[in-house]
Amino acid sequence: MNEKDLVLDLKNLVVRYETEGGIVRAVNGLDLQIRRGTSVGLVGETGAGKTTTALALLRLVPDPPGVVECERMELDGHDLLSMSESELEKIRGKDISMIFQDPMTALNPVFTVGEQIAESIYLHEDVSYAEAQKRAAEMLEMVGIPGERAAEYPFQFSGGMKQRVVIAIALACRPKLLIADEPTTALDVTIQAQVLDLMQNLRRQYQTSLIMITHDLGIVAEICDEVAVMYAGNIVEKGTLEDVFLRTKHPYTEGLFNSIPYIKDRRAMLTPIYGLPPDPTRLPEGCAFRPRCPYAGDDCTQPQTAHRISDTHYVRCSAYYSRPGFHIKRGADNP
Amino acid sequence: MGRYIVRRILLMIPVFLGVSLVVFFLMDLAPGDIVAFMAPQEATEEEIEQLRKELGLDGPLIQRYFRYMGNLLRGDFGMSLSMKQPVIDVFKARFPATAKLAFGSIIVAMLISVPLGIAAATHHRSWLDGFSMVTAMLGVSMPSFWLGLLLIILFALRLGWLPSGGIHGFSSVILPAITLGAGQAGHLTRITRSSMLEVIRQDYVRTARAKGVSERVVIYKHALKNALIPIITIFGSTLGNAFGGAVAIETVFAWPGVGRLTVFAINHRDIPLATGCIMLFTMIMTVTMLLVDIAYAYADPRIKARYSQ
Amino acid sequence: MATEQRKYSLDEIRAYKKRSLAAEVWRNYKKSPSAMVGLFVVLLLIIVAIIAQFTFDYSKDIVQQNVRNRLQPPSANHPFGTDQYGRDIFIRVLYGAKYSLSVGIVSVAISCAVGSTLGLIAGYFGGAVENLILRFCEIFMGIPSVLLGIAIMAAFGQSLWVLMLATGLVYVPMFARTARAAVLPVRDQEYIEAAHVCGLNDFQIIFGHVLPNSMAPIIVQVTMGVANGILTASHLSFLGLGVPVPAPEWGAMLSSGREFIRDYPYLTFFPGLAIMITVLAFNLVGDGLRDALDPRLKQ
Repeated sequence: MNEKDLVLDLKNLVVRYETEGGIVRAVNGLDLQIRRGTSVGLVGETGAGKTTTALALLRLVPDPPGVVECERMELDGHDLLSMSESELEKIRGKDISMIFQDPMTALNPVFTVGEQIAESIYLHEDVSYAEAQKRAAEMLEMVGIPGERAAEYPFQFSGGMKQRVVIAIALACRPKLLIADEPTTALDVTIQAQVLDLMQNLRRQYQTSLIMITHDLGIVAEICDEVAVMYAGNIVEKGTLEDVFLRTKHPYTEGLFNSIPYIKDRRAMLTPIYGLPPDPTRLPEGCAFRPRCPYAGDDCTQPQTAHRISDTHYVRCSAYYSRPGFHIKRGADNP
Repeated sequence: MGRYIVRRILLMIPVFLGVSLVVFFLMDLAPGDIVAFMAPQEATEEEIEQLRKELGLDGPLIQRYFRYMGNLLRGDFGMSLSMKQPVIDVFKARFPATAKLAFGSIIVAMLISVPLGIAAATHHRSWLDGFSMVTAMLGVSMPSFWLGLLLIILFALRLGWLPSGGIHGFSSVILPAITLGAGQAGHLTRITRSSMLEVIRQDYVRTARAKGVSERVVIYKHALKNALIPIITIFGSTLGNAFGGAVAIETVFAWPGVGRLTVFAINHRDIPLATGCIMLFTMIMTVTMLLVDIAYAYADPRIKARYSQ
Repeated sequence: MATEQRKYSLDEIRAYKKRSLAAEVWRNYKKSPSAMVGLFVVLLLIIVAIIAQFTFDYSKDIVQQNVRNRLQPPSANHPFGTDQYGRDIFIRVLYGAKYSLSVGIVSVAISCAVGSTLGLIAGYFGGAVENLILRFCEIFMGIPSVLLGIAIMAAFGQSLWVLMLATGLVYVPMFARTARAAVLPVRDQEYIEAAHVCGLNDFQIIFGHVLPNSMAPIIVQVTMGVANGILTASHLSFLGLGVPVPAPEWGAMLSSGREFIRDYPYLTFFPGLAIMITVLAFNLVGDGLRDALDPRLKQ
């Protein structure tokens, strides 16, 4: 892999929230590399640390109570860790931007949508405000909203329309990396598909890399090149779409797939993952999935490291090197 | 928007009728026969009754109320017994002083509370937050007339920087306005802070930050414009408090306004003057609150749109 | 049989539920130092008012004039000095606590009883009743509170009881609106519907189900109301429309000390300080209670 091709290079990211009720360990030593133009799905349950990871990339984890530690955080070769606040402001919205989960609350109710898109353009590009407003109207057209609606306020738009506006804001300056945090969770299923298509098209057009945060494996299959499965603040399995979907290696990933209804056999019982995600203030020692894992053994209390399956496929499960011949059921079908 | 304003004005009419009934009835209960009180000592019973008729103070309560309201519609609030002048003229002469005081106090309150509330919210749980909350709590709890006296002792009597009373130019409005503004500032600081704390947790503030908007612009443009909405909604009651508080403050600073006039009227059993003062006071407040509500509708596009349809 | 499996009677469960809720509120309340200070001061003031009532003789210690002793500065003998009639200000301030406290508490009892009932009825029944009550509140809120107080004092004459009544009536609309706002979200809950289905009448539902679930804002309003009531009453007394002289009401003491402000500022200083500390203490308790009753609101 060519170093220059990396849009994002993240090594050993740790985020914790130091609250009255204890230290919440949200992200625990996460590594993530994203190549130019690719899209990575970040999958996991609520509370797995997906949104925190995204906020850490924008350097927007609220401090206090949040504390961010990281070995390396580079965006297109620029070190985000050593940047001052004003340097970060130049990067945010321009090189890296984010689409938030709930379009109903993501837009400021007292400014017109045109003003909100134009603000981003005016901040980052050397244009007059009138020009920025013109560009904002063009952006609206791009996301399928008539440009003259730029003068309207967010409450005059439906949920799906608002999400289009949010996408317009995020893509207004053609960022190198776009983080989409469950962009369709709050939308109707029919609108979901439209919004996803729109994102895909614009992303290809602008050569933007994408981190798609979701808990919907269907969305991942549809638009992602690579998948990273998160559990308790860490990536437990990472690989190409085929690696993770067809050659599943981690017991947690297997559990996720077993929880999906199988369309060819509608009478089949779902196999849920038993138990609950761990309390992030009291993570178990070693593998965080151990208390819920059907394959758990003595070696699981050891600190876990990423185990290489292939050039593209990594799994964070000690069973693969401490128990010779170890395989999970799903993986056994596709060795 | 026009329809909204008309509707609001129509809604004011029953409220004002109710106010007039309450005030008229209460003032009628006040002990003492005011006509006998103001008639010359040697006046006979008949002369007193004659005077009562002339003043329109004869007949049963309801009859007098309707007569009063009829006159009121023509802008006639009756005659002040102690000043021998129409009530409306007496009031008009004194009102500008009260208006000056009330608006001065609100300017003081705004200048203190909005920056203090914002600072407290943006430095949540810091010493600055603690300091502004303690200050606000003291402002809310302090009797304004006492603060006024303390300020007189310090700035007028000890230091001699400012006049202790009366109305002579700008310097004389400073102490009364600060006195009256301090209590309002306490309330407004608390409201600004909690409103701001609420707003800066909103997703759209995070969206603004993610766009690369600088922290200062995030706070003063994106957050403040939203946080000001609840402050504008209570602006009407703030103004009401200012007018009400003016009664005591005008007494402390010998300020020739309508608050002191009302107390004077009550103490001198000048019932027409007292009734007129309270009615006019209430009327002015109600109209001001209406104006505030309209301004509020303009500040919040959601409400404006609801009424323009 | 099902009854045999029941380990606790309904009354026991109710008692447990009440106890644990109060304990929970108290546990949260204790966390705030300022709220604890406020509570301490409130209790201290109540104790002082009771002790002063029984220690001092009203005609001898409180109102008897002693011209030879007039206008003494603060000293060991007279910690707050003496007034223009030679009366000890410290003793008068201590004795005066009972006026402020009783006016504050009785007036809130009046405004809470009348206002909350109106608010509950308005919120529960809605429609024309609600409209009528809200219009009624608007009328009373339209008149600035001090002016309304003045009008009531003028109508019924000056006495401690009228002062309580006047202060209480002034705050009726505030309670009505608070109670109504608290009832609105409760009104449409399914357990209210369930109570209807069970055949409970409106009275039982309002006081048995609606009120307990909309209590928190009313309780907070009560403590804040005591503070407001004390402040409004002292306003009226200051204007010469409260408790008649020579009773050592703080507002009235402050007012009568005004003419000596140039040379004897302590005549006005100490009564005012007493008012402020009392009001502050109740406000702190109110703040603490609000946070304790609804931790989500805590900021």
